[in-house]
Amino acid sequence: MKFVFISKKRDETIKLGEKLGNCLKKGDIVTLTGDLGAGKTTLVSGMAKALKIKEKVISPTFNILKCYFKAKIPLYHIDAYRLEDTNKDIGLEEYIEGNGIAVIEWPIYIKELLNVKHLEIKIINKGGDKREITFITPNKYYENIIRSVLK
Amino acid sequence: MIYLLLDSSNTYLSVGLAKNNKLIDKISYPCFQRQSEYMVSEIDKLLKRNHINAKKIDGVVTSIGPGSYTGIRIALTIAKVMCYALNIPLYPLSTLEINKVIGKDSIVLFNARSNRSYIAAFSRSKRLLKDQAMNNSDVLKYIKDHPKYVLVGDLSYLNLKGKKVDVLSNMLTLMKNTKPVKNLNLVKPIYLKETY
Repeated sequence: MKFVFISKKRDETIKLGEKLGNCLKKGDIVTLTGDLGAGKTTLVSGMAKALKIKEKVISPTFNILKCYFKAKIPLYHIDAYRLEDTNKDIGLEEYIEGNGIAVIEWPIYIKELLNVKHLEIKIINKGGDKREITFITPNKYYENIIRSVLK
Repeated sequence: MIYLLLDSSNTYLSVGLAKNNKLIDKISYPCFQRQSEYMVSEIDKLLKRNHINAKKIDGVVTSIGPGSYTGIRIALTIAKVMCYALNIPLYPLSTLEINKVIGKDSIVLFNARSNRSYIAAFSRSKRLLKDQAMNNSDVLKYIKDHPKYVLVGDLSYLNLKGKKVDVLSNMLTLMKNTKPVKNLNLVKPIYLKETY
């Protein structure tokens, strides 16, 4: 299943993230693909809002992983950008198959760890504040989540 | 003799204090992925409430894996720092072994994720299977082939029930047959899944 959502401004992207955050459960996995400035972190900050996270969400490009434990459900925010060509196991499976929701930016660099069911989101910058946000999943479980997000 | 016992290999944070071969006090609770935030202060709490100065500790006993990537590094790092600073011996133990049922035939298992388990097996008197990461299908076959063995660990990921043991008192028992490390700098955590 594939669904395209057009966001006309930043607030709409945050709203979408919030709706998504409200539909996710412990153990769910979401991957985010998009160029720098596409709005990946913006979408995650919406999810964080739904999970009642007070901390400001920033992209963990340097840290690789940031955990938000003070939340309705723990949120693991992974940015695999710096893991390109490393193939080094640093225990990310414990978060991807962990006790919370895992959101993964630059999943291409840890695709060996993503042989599990997940929801794929692609964001494309359409110029100005306009963003094309595509939800893709071959999986029934995540199809239902997309349906409830778009309700 | 006073020994400090540490384990943060998996979901628990465990800190124990042994005096004259007896476990005299302990702090142990589930703290998955957050042991690094609490372990040092729990050690401090344990020492203070037993009126023991850190300088009186004669050695540190710690698990070194296999287990959680970060988890196995937390207890070992703290143990190394203490042993280095106090110039006392470090006793490293296998996380799988400290979870066995002493005096029984047991298979110890932890979820290694990506459809694998960390596994080791012990008969009453000796080790039957060395610490390793094994595919879950092979794990289930191994369990089937050893029906009389007690299973240990949180095995909900395999839809099985596992026994929970008192890790700290096991550590105290097992350290008696363990030599302290010769060179602290060379002790490494045992992760068993370095690459993918």
